[in-house]
Amino acid sequence: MTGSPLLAVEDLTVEFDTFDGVYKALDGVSFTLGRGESLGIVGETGCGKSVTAKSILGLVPSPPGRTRAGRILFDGDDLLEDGGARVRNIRGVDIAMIFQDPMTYLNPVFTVGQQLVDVIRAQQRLMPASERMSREGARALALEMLERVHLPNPERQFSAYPHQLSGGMRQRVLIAQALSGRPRILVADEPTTALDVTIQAQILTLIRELISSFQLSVILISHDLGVVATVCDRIVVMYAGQIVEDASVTEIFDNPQHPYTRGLLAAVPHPGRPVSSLSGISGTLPNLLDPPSGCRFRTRCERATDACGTRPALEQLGNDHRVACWHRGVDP
Amino acid sequence: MTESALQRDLPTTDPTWAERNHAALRTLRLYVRTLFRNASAVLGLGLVLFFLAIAAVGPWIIPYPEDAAGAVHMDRKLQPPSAEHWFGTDEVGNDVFSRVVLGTRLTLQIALIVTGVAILIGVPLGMIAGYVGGAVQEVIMRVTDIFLGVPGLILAIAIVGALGPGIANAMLALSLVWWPGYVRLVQAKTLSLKNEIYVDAARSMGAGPMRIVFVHLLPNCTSPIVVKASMDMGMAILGAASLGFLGLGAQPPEPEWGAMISIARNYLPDWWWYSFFPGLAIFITVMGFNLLGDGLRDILDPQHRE
Amino acid sequence: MMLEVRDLKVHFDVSRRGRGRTVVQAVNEVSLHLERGEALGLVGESGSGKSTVGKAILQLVRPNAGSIRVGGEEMTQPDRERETRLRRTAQMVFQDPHSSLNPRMTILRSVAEPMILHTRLRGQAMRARVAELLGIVGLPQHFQFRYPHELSGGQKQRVCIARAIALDPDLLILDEPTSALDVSVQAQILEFLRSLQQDRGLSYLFISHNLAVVRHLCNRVAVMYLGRIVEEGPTEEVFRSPQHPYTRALLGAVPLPQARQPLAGDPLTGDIPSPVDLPPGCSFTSRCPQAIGGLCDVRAPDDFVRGPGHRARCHLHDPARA
Repeated sequence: MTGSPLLAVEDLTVEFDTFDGVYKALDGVSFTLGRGESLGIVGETGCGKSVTAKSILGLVPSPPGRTRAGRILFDGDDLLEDGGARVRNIRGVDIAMIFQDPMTYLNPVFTVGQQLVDVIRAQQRLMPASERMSREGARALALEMLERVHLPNPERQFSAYPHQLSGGMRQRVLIAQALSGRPRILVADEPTTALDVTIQAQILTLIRELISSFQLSVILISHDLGVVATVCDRIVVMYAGQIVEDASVTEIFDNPQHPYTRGLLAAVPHPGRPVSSLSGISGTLPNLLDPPSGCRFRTRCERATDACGTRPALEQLGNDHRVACWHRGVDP
Repeated sequence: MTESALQRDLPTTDPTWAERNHAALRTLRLYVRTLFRNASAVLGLGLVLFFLAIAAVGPWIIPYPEDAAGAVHMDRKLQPPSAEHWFGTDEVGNDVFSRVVLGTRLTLQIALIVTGVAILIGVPLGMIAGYVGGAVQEVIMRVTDIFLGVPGLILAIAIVGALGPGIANAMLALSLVWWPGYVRLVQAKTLSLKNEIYVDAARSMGAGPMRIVFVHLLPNCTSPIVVKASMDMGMAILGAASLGFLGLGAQPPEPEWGAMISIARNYLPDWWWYSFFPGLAIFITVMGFNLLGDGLRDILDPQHRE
Repeated sequence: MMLEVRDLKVHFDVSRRGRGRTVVQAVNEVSLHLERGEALGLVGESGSGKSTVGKAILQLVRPNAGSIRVGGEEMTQPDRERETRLRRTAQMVFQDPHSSLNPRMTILRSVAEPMILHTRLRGQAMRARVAELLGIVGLPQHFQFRYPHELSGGQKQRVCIARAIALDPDLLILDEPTSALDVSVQAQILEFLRSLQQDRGLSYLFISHNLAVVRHLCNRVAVMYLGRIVEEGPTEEVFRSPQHPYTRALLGAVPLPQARQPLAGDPLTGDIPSPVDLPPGCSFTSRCPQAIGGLCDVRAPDDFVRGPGHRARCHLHDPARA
């Protein structure tokens, strides 16, 4: 990775107005994504990982959502600057997204092929008319894309309706759709959570293959550390709207510094470790309508002291490892 | 992690009143706020409350109580609105204001009975159809379809025609044509609710069909029923007025709005007040119930809430 | 013997008028047994019929054939009296805690439901019992007056467990109790279920799609594929040397939470066939990397013993073939 990062999120703060008050979904989230890098964002439900992804694509509904502060730099341009006009031009073309439940994102009354062709033509709306593809060209590209995501029988599935496909096949179609505009970044929000384990393995293998063949940068969001470990080079751990740790995959698993990261690791059942090693994190997520001051994890943290009343900064720990904790380090 | 670690940060004191009713209070506040953000719902609620208030105190506020029963004062017939007779007088000298105000009670009575009977017939049938399924469902739903296929008012007219005109028969006729809508609504809702896991859970604990229907399904169907009932109150008032207008419902001199207009239309346009004020009463009441129903849908259905 | 299922068969007729007969073969010839105090894991992907087995045991779906004995008593098509005993002996915890509680009922009423149905406990005594149960599952007393939507997923699942143990059952059927929960909460619930089993000597039938999760609770595991048990054995044994190609693939497909993933070989290709028209022969043939043409796609394999209490349904282990 040389030069400036492809995507830089700086101090992103997003809030939602709800009946019970202001929900502080993201609080000063900063991270970068290098060219050709695949980054995993991990955390529990409500930690803000999906809101982060949606913010990058300008998909946070507003109202009730509000970006209080921060910048999202794509190739040096701030996507938040001109009220979302820029992000609309980049969405689906330079940055594409896939989601947890593919059925929700496919229109049940059109065939898979029709939708793919429409998406391809829509992606070219910004090009000069002379460079746009004909319907036939778009169709050819659509078929090629279906082949590249290894959809069995692409010719036949082209005229199938979404409900005739299995969950895994639908996710392949969505990936084909996302990649047909040759994006530079693919944001995948829990892409395999709704799938069976063996199908999940297929899709993860596919994403890994596409990263190299399309020279993609990937942001993979998941609650499953195992899924992220399969695909990503670097992992960002989020808790209650803040980043608590950001490091390479090896560092996260071999040298976790934040008590929350260590808690998460101990909570994942590992088929190769003794049964007794499993332990949960006691307590529940803090209420983000009224988050605890300072370190948000301190209400559940076994190491919490008075120092934790002040928010720890995300500190650099040498090579590409950042952590936000006053009591970092391995267990004594 | 041990049991004590789990309870570490959990309060153990006895629940206070606020804690016991925490959920109800929050819901109430949410309802009130959603309602007051919706101007038309507030207007609807205001109109319905006004209508109910008039119905409650009507007999004590009218200036000419004897006019409601059909007194005759030929000396002051067809007088225009004035300080003495706010809405003018009719062709036998009765005070239109007194009759419109008293008509409120009758109208409310009709609306409540028609909607109530329709719910009592429709909801159980819909529950049975949705929960039992199979041939029972087929029979109930096909009969419902037949009723829904015939225009309600025409059917009601036919029924009153057979039974003879009169307010009781009009209410009966309207009730008989009103229930199919509830069957449809409740059957569809029951079909989706009976696949909920909590229904399976109740069955796995040994709950019988009656308990499942009344404890688990019915309470979860109430929101759409309440919304529809509110809208139907308005529609039933309109239906009763239509029958009255056709001479099939309430009979003069009963102070029923539709029946009043039926006679009053002969005096249009010169004596406009005679038909105008009962018409206005129908219009405002029906609109009130409809706006309220719309507002209730926004409040009770989370999908309509922003 | 706590639970004995023999040759269970559950088929669902999903025919629509004018479209011919369509039968989903959800469960085919499933036999399993569970000793008192034991925990058996029933593992499989969607469409494997694992949940249907659980529901059939509790009479939530009607089996087409086979026998189910709970606590030594025949429970296939029970009369009222036996059904009541079944409900007190066996209880179920469902997959999605968000929809297994009636949204219109307070936690108090939900947890009290089995008592209302099966005991004379009412009023103050019933509330005391609910309070005791909430204490057992580690929830604060004031949750009694809450509604489900005010609770987190893990808290709701604890409520469901409290409801399930209200009548002191001997057998709990846990249908994916943690798959809708976050990992940290899942670990809490698994730990809790473990201590609950030790304290009360419960028997568990733990249904899950995740082999790694099952390992943490169960001493024996049965793997299902398309309505049949393809492998069964002691958990550690199955993990150490899986005998059926499907079990191997399932184990290899679990993404490991560690850096430097060992290459687990190619993932299984293709989709799970529809249980409506099962292929002839072994139903795993279409995806099996070791399928033997002319044998696996023609004849269904028998069960072959692979060790003490360890059996696999695969032609590869047919001693007659070697």
